[in-house]
Amino acid sequence: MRMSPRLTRFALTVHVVASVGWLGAVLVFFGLSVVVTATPDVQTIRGIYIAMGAGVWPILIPLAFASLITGLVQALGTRWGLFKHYWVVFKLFINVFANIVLLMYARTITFLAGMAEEISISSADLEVLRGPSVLIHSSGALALLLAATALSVYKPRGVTRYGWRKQQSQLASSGP
Amino acid sequence: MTLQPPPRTPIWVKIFAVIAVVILVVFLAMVLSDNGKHGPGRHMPHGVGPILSN
Repeated sequence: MRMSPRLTRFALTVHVVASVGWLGAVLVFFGLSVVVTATPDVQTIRGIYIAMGAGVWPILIPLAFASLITGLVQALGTRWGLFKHYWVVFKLFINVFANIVLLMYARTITFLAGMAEEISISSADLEVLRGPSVLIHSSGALALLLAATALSVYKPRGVTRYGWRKQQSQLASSGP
Repeated sequence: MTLQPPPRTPIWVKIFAVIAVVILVVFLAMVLSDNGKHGPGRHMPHGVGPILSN
C-alpha cells in the first residue's frame, strides 16, 4: 500500500529522527566506553556504567526499535519496497542485526551498572568494568549505523531479482 | 514487447554480502560457543555466575 506524499514525508521525518537519535546515543556510548577503558579513576568508571545502565533501556532500545519500525513503514509504504533494492535489503539486515545484539547486550550493561553501584568493588569486578567489551560493542554498533546511514544517503544502484520481476511486470502491464 | 534480461549483481552488493556473512558467522560462533547464553556471564571472570541485578 502506497502512502500519500504528505504521509510519506511525515513517516520519513520520524524515521530520520529515530535513526539519527539512535546513532547519537550510540556515539555517546562509544565516547563513554573510550573513557572507561582509558581512565584510571574508579569513580569515573562507576559513574559511566551507572549512566549507561540508566540510558540503555529508556533511550537506546526505544530509539533502535523506532528506527526499525519506521524503516519498515517507509519501505513498505513507498515505491522502494522492502526487497526490491539491495540497499534497502542491507539496511534491513543491519537494523535487525543491530537490534538483536543490542537487546542481548543491554542485559550485560544492566548487570555491569549494578556491579558499579555496589558500595565495595573488588579488583576482579574492576577488571571486568575496565574490560574492552563495551568498547567493542559500541564501536561495532557505530560502524553498522554509519554504514546504514551511508546506504540511505547514497542509495547505491542495484535491483534484486524480485525487484526486477516487479519492474518487468509493471512495464508489461503499462505497455501499448 | 521484449523483456530485458535480469541485471547483473553489482560489485558493491557482493562485497557487502561477504561482510554480512562474515559478521553473521562470527556472531553465531560467539553465541554458540557460549551455549546460546551470550549475556552477562560471557563478560565475567570464570566462576562468577551471570547474576542480574534489577
